[in-house]
Amino acid sequence: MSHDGLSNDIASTQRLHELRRHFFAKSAAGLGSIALASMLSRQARGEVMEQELLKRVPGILDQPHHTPKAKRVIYLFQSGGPSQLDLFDYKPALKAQHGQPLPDSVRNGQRLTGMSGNQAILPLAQSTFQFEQHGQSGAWVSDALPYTAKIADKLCFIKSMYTQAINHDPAITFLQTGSEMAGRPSIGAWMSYGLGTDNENLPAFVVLVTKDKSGQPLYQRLWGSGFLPSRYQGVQLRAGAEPVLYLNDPDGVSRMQRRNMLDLTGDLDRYQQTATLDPGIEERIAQYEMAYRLQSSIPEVNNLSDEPQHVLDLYGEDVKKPGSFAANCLLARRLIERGVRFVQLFHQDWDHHGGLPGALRNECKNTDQPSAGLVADLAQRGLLEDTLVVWGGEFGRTNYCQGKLTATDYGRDHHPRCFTMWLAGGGVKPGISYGETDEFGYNVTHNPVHVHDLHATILHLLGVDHERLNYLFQGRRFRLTDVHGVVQHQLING
Amino acid sequence: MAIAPPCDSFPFQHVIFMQFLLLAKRSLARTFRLLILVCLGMAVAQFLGVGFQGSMALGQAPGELSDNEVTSSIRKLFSDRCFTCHGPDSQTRATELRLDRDDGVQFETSSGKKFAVAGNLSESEVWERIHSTDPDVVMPPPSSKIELSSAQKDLVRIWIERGAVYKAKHWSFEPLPDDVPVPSFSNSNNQNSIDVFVSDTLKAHQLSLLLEADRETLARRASLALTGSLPSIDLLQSFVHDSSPGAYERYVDQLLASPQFGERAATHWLDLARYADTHGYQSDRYRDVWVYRDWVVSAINQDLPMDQFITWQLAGDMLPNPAREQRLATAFNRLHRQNEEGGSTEEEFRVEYMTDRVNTLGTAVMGLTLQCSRCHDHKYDPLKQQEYFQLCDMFDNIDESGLTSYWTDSMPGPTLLLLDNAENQQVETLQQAMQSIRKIYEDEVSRLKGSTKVEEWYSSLAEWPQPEERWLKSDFPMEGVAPLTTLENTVAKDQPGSSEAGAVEVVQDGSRSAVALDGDNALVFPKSGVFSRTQEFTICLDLKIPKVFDRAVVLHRSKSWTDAGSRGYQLLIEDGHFTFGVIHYWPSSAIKIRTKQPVAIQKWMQVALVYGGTNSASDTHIYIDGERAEVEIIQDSLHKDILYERVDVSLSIGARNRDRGVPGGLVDHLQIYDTALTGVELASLATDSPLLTWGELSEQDRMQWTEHYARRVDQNSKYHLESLHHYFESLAKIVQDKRELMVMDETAANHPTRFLNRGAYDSPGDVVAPGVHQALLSDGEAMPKNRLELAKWLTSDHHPLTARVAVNHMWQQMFGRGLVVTSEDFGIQGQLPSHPQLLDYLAVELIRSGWSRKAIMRKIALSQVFRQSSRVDAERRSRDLDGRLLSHFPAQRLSAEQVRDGALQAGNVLSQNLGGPPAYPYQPAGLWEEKSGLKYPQSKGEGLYRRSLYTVWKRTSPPPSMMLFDSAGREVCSARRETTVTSLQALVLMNDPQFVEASRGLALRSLGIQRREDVSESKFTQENLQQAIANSYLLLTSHACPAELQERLLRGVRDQTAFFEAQGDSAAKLLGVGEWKAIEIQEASQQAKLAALTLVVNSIMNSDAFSVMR
Repeated sequence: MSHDGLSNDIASTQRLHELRRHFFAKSAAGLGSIALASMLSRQARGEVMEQELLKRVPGILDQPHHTPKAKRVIYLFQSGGPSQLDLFDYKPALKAQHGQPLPDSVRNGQRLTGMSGNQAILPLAQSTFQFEQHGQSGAWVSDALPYTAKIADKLCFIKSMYTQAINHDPAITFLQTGSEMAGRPSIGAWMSYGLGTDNENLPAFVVLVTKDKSGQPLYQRLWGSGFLPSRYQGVQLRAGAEPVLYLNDPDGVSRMQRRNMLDLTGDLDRYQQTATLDPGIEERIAQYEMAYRLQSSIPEVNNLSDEPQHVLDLYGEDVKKPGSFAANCLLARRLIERGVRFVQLFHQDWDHHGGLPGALRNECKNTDQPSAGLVADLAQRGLLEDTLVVWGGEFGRTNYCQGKLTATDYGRDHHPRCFTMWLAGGGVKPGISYGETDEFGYNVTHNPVHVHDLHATILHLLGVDHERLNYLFQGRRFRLTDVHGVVQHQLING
Repeated sequence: MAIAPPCDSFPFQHVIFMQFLLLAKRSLARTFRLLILVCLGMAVAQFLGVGFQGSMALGQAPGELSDNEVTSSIRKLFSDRCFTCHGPDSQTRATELRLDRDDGVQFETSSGKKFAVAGNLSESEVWERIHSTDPDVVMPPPSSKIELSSAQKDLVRIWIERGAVYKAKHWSFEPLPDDVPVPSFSNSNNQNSIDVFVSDTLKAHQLSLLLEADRETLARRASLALTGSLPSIDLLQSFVHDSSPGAYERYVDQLLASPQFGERAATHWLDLARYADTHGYQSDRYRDVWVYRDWVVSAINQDLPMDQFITWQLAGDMLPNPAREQRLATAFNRLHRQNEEGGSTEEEFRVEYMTDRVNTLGTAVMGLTLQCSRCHDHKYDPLKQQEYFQLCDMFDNIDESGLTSYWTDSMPGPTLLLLDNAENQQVETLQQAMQSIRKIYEDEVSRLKGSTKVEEWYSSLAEWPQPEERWLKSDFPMEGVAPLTTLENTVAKDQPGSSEAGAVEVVQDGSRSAVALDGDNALVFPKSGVFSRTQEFTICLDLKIPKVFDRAVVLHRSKSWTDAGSRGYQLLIEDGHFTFGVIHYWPSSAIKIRTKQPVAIQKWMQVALVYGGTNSASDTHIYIDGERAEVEIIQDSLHKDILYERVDVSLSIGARNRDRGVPGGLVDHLQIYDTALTGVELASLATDSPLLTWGELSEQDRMQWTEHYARRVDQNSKYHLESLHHYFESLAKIVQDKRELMVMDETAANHPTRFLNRGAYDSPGDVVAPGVHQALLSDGEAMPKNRLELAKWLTSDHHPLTARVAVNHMWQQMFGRGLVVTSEDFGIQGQLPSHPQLLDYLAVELIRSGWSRKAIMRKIALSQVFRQSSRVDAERRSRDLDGRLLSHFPAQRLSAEQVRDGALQAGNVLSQNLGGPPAYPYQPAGLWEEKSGLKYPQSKGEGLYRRSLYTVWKRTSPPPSMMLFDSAGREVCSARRETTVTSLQALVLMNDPQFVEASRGLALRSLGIQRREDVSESKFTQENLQQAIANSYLLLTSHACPAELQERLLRGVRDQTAFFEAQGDSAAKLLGVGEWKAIEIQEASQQAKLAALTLVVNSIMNSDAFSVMR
């Protein structure tokens, strides 16, 4: 996108990169010498300008704003909103007052969804899961997550997350883009835009969705680039024969034939370049070569056959099932090993309005061991140090029962006012539980962490000042954190 | 011309890859630093913000700027760097200093200095502040993280030295002038006015227009720009060989007359209109709106004047006696996303819709970022938050719900029924017939009232008339002894009732045994009370309400709360009063009445709901204890049925999914009749009063008896009533399955719109009056008060924005970029026009031409500016880097639509049909499923080959190949698209079956094989293959294949043939890609050659010569 000649950092930086691309391409084509003479007279001014620009490059970052603690992120998105009250946020008071109505003094007039908001009573529901403290840190984790419990000392639990949206679509869009409204770039797109990738043969931002799940729908916008150029959008790696859309050569076409064909296309383009004098054509040729390499680098990363059994064991049985959460966790590790900046997994079906005990246990079975296995695997490879792992959904769940409360069964509605997420690695303090909710698990009482704060903190860990990574669009500097967000330094090591 | 060396010797390490790696490798960066410096030098002036207002002062340092340019530049600098605290937003203004006003620079600060003093740096506060090292003094403050570069500070210096002239008013807020004189220019003999304006600018930069592009290039360019299509070979050849004067004009006129002209321009308008075929939230279901898309295409093709094009879409429903198309056009305002998520707050999303309409109006028509002023006054432009909601008020006045209907397939109201002319005629006739019959019946009743017939009949009665037994369809006495699991239906034994709670709670209330309600678990009566809107029915229930309720669901036959559109019928308590609703989609299609008296509490009563089966609120009643309750009509607009198509619902009492029930309520004896019982009959059920003499009856009682007589006894009036039913049934049958389109339909009742603090739906302030922004109103201009007046104001002759924005979009269509590059933002933060006089000239011309889009597009297409070459040497390129000066035609990558449609067109598979329901072309399997569980119903046959404009647009999973080519996502209004070149695009063109198939189609076509019978060995000779290569090249690029490439392409065919011959059935496999199997080649050697040619054709398709418009 070309921007106005505002004397504006962002426009300038955006423009600078356009120009670079343009001129690198030109020189690579051997056309760089053309008419250089006429341009050199402006060199002096150019030097001054470049220093000005490179000194402060809040757009596409040549280097981070400060020394990063994390180089890459694996975000395990649990879509639908897992119940913090049945996994992490242990509330004995709910047991004591099981079946009693949610006190008005706790609800405090705050809005409920239209699903349970009209119930004649809102009965408090205790968790049917058993809670214990784990590790040196004594973190509370329920028996639904035995593997996670075992690595509790590696994790940083934020028990005081809160958001503003109360329904899935706005809430997940908010967590992914910093806005409830459609049209903004996703967090991965921002990182791709700001930091690029360390491997030119793989996308900077890769998305993995657990296969064959139902539950709350997902949307392209959750990994879209919004108003950023489309090249920053997440590239989905899908289980099955064609992991990246359109990756495979058509039936009957061999690699040699593809090579031969690309050579021909390249020759046509070089002819055209001579005929049109357009230096931009070099860019096309480069992209075609890139596509060719992508066709082999993706299958390589996707091929798990060289993973030893003891590693596979970490992730659990399902790891052999392509597209499972377990397989995706392992794939995520392989991707970041190869320099991908941001890998985001989506696992659906945490929206437990009813039948929670059974359904929650089921999702935990799918995700617990792989999540913990991933952290352990990263740790044993020394990668956890500079890889940030994030686990969590778009909101929490209510302490009262939606629908019928029975001795063994209950459901919980959406609850934006508190939920739990965990972070690991990437410079985050291990073995802490941060923030607190009230005795009913309804409101945050200590150290609230808003979604914008989480975003600011993630960017900070990657060496990015969330206030300075922005993009000029519709006359305004947009950023992931809008005009909010406070870095949570208490969560960060040293 | 020599061909470059083969790829294996090409230095690939020297290129950068922008898809995944924006930054070049550091080492590379150093290698080419020199070049960066050079280009930066050229761009300095642009970075400084000095390259505008017609001068496009490339290479000019601030010191070289003209005084006017300094004035524009400084305002732009202050806007960008200072307005947040010193601009129009009163909430964030730090001091009284306002740089959005002319006198701002005269502001005296606390130190006694003025903000700026002409010619005197040391007396100017601004100069001191921007250089201060004191963090409390320096401006901008460090906390803002905004800094000024030395070049920007230099601009401030020059501005002060040159007299500190400040003009706050922005160009695009100035009224459009009457006339824009064309500059006199010595070489203007055969140039059109556009050329004169551009040449004038170029001259100031020692540049001039380039020569005209070659004919083939020009033909291809004009065709792609105007129609989105490649020129057909016939059209191309006839133009190329037509050396007579006016050949190009004739060619352009042919393009303008082609139906593809409308398709091409519509594509952009649909981006603005955020047109899509789904609702956009959650499972993102189908929405039937393609008739709007077809209307846009046809309106553009017919060159509907743009003032009307805009007026119809904004306010067609408010025009006098609006035609169907004028109402249809208002769908523009309803194309925003709509939410279906259960449990959402309806008002939250209703507000989102209203604001989306205003935001879209802002971007699409006004070129303003109005959305910025939803939460606060605009930070840069003189647009107040108050004014934002005044504008919202005009778009708020329709009967709509904030939720779509999850449980039904209804289109969210208000809607326009999509009937054909004959149906429309029938419906109108039937409506008139119903109206007159109703009148006749009512007259009949009045006549009876004045006659002695009723009295005679009454006096002959031996006993009070009872409802006939055959009318009673269900009867639940609700008796029994606990534990009771079912409620007996004495009329239909196999249709008992039950409680969702499991056991029915029977309680004793005084002498009465009754069923108690807990508010959460309903009593359900499956299969009872199943009535359509054409059937009469009566439902009687005894009940006792424990307390005053704001809202309580007493009885209903519906699926859920508002997320079913509230379809069905329902007896509710709302604000302490009974309401009876008969609903297709609340609130646009429903009947609803409300009792004037509040609900009696702690008292048994018999409530009866009576629906007359004739679609009228006047024939819909609530009776309490046999007396008709006085009611007010809340809604009387039912136009479709109240039954469900695809889910089961039950008549239920005392609770509803996601709604509030009647905790503590008691009910008894439910009876359901399939007739509208009369007051007399209901009284017989509720009381056991004796028959009085006629003389003893009150006036009201007599009326009841008269009505009863008319309905049950008098043959004449019974006949009329039957006719009324008959007509209504015919009418209902016609409209029942007809599609509906969401449109605007201004309500007579004025919905108050409130100012929303921080733009939040749950933070309402005062009611606002409708209006527009003061800053855009000319002196003495009347304030528009509704959408129609708004449209008239927007399309008035001197409106500062509408015509300018419109011609800018046209320019963007032709050149890939507007004269104002930020076509979405003409405000202070937007880019200044590269050729402001030309923009105004075209805007005035648009109005003078009677708002003719075609006239302006023709003018642009015929200009030398459009016709000039895009071949530009480095020297010229360096002086007009991105072509903003228009010193050459800017080459552009084809759009998503152009790439696909062009390939299908060349491949001879493109469908030429216009319009119709969306098509479902090839798409990798599973994309819809993995997001929302819906299966993508890929088309068979023609649907695979429709123009891309018709490709189904699912917002949460848009067509991936089009998104990779930078299509707009259609979730929100979008005024321009990116143009990137990425490796994923390469994968699409090489591997997507539609491009493989198109390549094969083109290979066959080029070989001269159009039918099965054409296949013969002679088609595969070396000579014929050579000809085929030339044909393919021509069809894809509109250029003859250069001699230098012929041999190279032929070598490609030979190489690929050898590969295929060596690999068994691989050729057959490639030829088997896709669904199109019309021509199959059996012979192996022929297969190998055809497959080889297919790959070579695909190579051409992948090359710049096809994918870029030059």
